[in-house]
Amino acid sequence: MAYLPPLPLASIEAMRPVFMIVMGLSILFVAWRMTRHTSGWSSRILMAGALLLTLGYSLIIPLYQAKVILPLSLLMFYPETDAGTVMGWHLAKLFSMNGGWMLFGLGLALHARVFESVKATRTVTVATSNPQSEPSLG
Amino acid sequence: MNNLLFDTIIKQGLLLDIFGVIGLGLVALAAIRFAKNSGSTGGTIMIWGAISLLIGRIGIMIFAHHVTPLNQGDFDPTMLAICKNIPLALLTLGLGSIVWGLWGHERQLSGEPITD
Repeated sequence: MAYLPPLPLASIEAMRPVFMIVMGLSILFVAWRMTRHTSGWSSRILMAGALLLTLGYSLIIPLYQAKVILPLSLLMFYPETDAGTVMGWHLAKLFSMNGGWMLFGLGLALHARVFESVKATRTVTVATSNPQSEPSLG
Repeated sequence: MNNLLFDTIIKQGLLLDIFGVIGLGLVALAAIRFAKNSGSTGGTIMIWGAISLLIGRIGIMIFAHHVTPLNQGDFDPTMLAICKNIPLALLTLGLGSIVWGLWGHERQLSGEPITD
């Protein structure tokens, strides 16, 4: 299962894990730079999401792509493999990617004040009465 | 294990997929707020990244629904590679544009000059 077929270096299959590792690390770096001088729950949630996304994108997905971890959909072809390990890695991948996007998006939305309403400057429209359009009563 | 609830929630990952899609929507909302409030071009790039990540997830879901390891031999290998690699490219580019947009937004707010 740890057999690595030879890959040409410029192919999509070889470039994609490298790109994902770099992007996972830089999402952590940018999130750290955004929340460096701030405090509060939005920066904590943002950093938790960025850490989970970095774990998923730069560790778990490249391990799946390098065929070190067996995907759950191929479990039926390897009956000698421990099903619990495969299921555990599957759950770790699902939790780190989806939970990471959830926490990252929540932290970013709190940081951008999506859930707070901006106090609008209220403009008062004054109805001007047109005397010619008024019905003449009586 | 022929439990329908286990299959749906754990093996197909319904619950966590819902979390991921909600999170991507929140990323897009925050990007809209960034682009509107501070006039940053990074926010617009982040919106495109979130949209392409969502489309890529739908494409991967459709591919995994129709192509299983058992009937993989029934399809043309070229078309199979195209249909698999387009959602993967969307996922990769979406992640890249979210990171790029966040980086540009952060640099624009922190006052450093953007040279590119």
